[in-house]
Amino acid sequence: MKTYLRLLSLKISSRLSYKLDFFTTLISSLLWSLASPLFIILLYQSGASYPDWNFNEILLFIGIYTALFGLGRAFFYNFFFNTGADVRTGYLELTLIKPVDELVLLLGKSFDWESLSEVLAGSLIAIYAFIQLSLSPNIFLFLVYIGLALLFYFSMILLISSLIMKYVQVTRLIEIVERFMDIASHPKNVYPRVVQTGFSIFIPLFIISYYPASALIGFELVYPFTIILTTLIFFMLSLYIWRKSIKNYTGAGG
Amino acid sequence: MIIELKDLKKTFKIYKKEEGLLNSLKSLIKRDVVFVEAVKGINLKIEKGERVGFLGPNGAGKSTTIKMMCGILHPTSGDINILGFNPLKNRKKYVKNIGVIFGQKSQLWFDIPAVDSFYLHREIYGIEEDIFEERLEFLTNLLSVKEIIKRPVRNLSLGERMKCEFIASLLHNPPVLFLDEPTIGVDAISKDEIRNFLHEVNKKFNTTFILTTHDMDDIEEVCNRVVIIDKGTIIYDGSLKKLKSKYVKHTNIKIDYSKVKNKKKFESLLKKADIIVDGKSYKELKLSKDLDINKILKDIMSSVDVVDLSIQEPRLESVIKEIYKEVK
Amino acid sequence: MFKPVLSIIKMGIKEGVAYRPQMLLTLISFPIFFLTQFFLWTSIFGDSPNTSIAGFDLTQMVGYYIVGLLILVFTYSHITTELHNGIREGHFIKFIIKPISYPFFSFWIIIGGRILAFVMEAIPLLFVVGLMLGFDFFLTPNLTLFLISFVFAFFINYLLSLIMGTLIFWFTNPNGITWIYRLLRYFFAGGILPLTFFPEIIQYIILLTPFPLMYFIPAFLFVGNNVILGIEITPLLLLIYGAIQLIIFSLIAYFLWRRGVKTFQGVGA
Repeated sequence: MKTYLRLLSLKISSRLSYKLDFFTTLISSLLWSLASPLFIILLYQSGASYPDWNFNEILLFIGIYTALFGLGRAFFYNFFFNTGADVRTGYLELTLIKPVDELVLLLGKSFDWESLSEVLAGSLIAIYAFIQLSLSPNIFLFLVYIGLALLFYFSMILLISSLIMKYVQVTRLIEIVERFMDIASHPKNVYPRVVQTGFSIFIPLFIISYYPASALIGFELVYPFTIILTTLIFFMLSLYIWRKSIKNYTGAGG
Repeated sequence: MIIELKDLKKTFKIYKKEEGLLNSLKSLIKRDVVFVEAVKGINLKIEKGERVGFLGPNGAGKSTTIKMMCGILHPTSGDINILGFNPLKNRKKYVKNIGVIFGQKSQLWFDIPAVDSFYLHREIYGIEEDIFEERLEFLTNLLSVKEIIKRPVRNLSLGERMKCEFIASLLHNPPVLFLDEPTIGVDAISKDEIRNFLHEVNKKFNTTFILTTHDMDDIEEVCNRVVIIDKGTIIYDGSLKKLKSKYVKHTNIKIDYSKVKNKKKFESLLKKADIIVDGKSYKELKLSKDLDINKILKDIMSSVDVVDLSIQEPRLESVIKEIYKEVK
Repeated sequence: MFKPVLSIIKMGIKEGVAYRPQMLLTLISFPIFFLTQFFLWTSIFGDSPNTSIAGFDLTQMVGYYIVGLLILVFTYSHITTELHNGIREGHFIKFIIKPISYPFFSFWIIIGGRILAFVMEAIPLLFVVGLMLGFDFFLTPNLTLFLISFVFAFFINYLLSLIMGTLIFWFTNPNGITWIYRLLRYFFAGGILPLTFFPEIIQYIILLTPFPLMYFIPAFLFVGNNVILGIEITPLLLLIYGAIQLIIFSLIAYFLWRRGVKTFQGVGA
C-alpha cells in the first residue's frame, strides 16, 4: 500500500513540471465530462426523453456514470497502456522481478490525477439532480454497487491488458472497453430484454451506473444481489486470466 | 574544394529551468536566458574524396557543425559552401547531393521492409531504374543484407538497421556523405562490416565523408584526415598519420605478477619507464614508443612470473588532453 | 512529379497493411456502437419513429451517427501524433535532408491509408449497416451535396491536424492543447448530437468554425436533410462556404508550417 501511495505522489510532481499542459489537460477533462449532461439537456429540451426516466432522474444517472467513469479512468485506464508499453520496452520483466506484486506497481504508475476532475464534475451533477428529486435511497446498496462498479471496470481493463501482452501492437483494444462503457452510459431499459438480462446476469455491465443510480433513486431492482455475485466472479476470472497471461509472458520472454 | 566553411558560428538561446514550485511560478513571468556558444568560428576546406573525422569531447560542437552543413540547423553567422550550395537556400536542390546518417534517428519507414523505403527513395530522388537496380545490388551485396532488407525495419537489430540506413543514404550516389555517430551501439562485427563498406564506397565512387564519432577505430579504419573540435573551435586539423606520430607517444602496460625472478633485470626495466602505479605485485608503466615494445615484453616475461599482463594504447581522451596541453 | 505521388500512395497502403490488426478492431467496436445507437434511439422515439426530433426521424438519427463514424474513418489523419513524436524523437529530420516536404508527403500517405481502410474497415461496416437499415439507406437524395461536403471534410481535417501538429515546434508538451482541439471538434462537429439540437444562436456561431464541415454537414446531408437555420443548402452555397474555410485554414497551415520549420532549424534536431 505504501508503495502505491509513493508512486502516486511521484506522478503528481512529474505532472506539475509540465505546468501549462497540466492545466489544459485538467480543463479539457472537465469539459469532456460535460458531454453526457449536455446530451441529456439538449435531448430533453427538444421534447424527447428516455422512456421512464424524467429529466432529473436521468441527470442523476449520468452524474453517477460520469463520476464512476472518472474514478475508473483515474485508477485503471492507463494500466492498459502501461502494460503495453512495458511489454514493448521490456520493462515488464523488470517489474516482475521486484518483491512487490506487479499489479501494485503497474497500478501505481497508472494513476491519472487529471481524471479526478471528471469525478468532481459528475458528482456535482449528481448532487444537483439529487437535490431536485425527493428520494428514498438505499445508501448501503448504493455504496456496495459503486465499489463493485469500479471492480468491474478494473476487470475489463485486466482482460484487455492480458490481451495486449500477446498482441502488443493492438493499442485500439481499449476501444472495446470504451464501447462497453457507452452501453452502460444509458439506463438498461433502453435495451431489449435479452441484452438487459445478459448484461445483468452474465457480464454485469449494468453494475456501472444503472444499479447504483437505481439504488440511489429507489427504483425497484431486478436481481439486486445476483449482480454482486456475478461481478465478484467476473473479477476473479479476469484476475485469473491476467495471472495466466503473465505466466505465459515470462515463459516465452527472452 | 567542395566544402568550405568560413568563420562558422552558432549560439543557442537556452531558457534556464529552476527547481522548486516558487521558481516554477516565477518562470511563468520571467525566464532567465543563457546563451551557449556551441560553435565559435570554424574554418574548414575539404576536397573531393577526403574522408574527414570530427573528434572532440561531448558538447564540443561537432554535431552542431555537421547539422549546419546538412541544412538541419542554421548558423548564427558565417558562410557554408557545399558543392556550390548554401544548405539553407535551395534546400531541395542541395539535399539531392548529400547523404546523411544520424546514429540515433532513422530515415527509414519503420513498419515496412527497408527495400520498400529504398524504392520510394528512387522516386523521391528521381533515380533512373537501371542505375538504381545496379546500385542497390552493389550496396546490398557489399553489406550482405539481401534477405534483411525484405523484413520490416522494426524487426531488425540495430546493426542490421544501420546497414539499411547506409544503403538508403547512398542510393542516389551523393558526392558527400555526412555521418553523425554512425556506429554507436552497433555490435563489433557489424561495425567492421560498415567500416569496410565505407572504404569500398569511397574507392569506387570517390564519395567525400564527413564523420563524427567517439570511436577511435572508426577514425583509424575509415578516415584519412582528422579535425579535432573542442569548445566550439578547431584545435587540430591534419592527417591521421601526423596526429598519431605527433601525439601518440606512449604505450601503457599493466603487469600483475607473483614472484620476481630476476630482480636486477626487472629494476633496470622499470627505470626505462614512467611508473604510474607502483604496487607490491602490480605495476602500471608508461613506456615511450621509441622503445622496442616486443623486447620489453620479453624482458618482463623473463624477469617476473606474470599473472596478468595487458597493453593499452593511450585512449582517445588522453591523446586529446595532450593536444590541449599543447594548445594552451 | 506524378510518379512520386503514386509511390507515396502505395507506401501509405503498405504502412496501413502493417496496421492490419488495429483495423480489425473496427469490426468489433463498430457493431457495438451501431447497436447501442440503434437501441437508444429506438427507445427514445418509442412508438413514433416517424416523428421528427430536431429535424431527424428514427432512421435519419441512427443514420446520422453511422454515417458520421464512416466519415471519421475516411478522413482520419494520424499526422498530429506523427509530427509530435517525429519531432520529439528526431525522426522528422528525414524530411529536412530529403528533397520532399512533409505536408505533401503525408497528404498522399493518408490517401493511401484511407484506400486501405475503405477495403478493410468500411466495406464490412457498410455491409452490416445495409443489413440492419436496409441497403436503400445508401440511396441518399443529396448525393452531390454529400460528395462536395465530404471532400471539404477531408481537406479541412487534414489541414487542422497539420496545424495541431505544428504545435510541437513551440510547445514541448502540446497534449493539453491538442485535447482541447479534439474536444471542440467533438462538441462542435455534432459528435454529441446533431447541431440542430442546439439553440439557433449557438448554431450560427458553430457554423462559423470549421468543425461542422468535418462531421455534421456531410452526415446531415447524407440522411436527407438540407435545410439549416431556415437556409436551404445548395451546391453553390456549400462550395462557397467550404472554399472560404479551406482558404483560411490553408493559409494558416502554410504560415505555421513555414515558421515551425524555421524554428526547428534554429534549434536543430
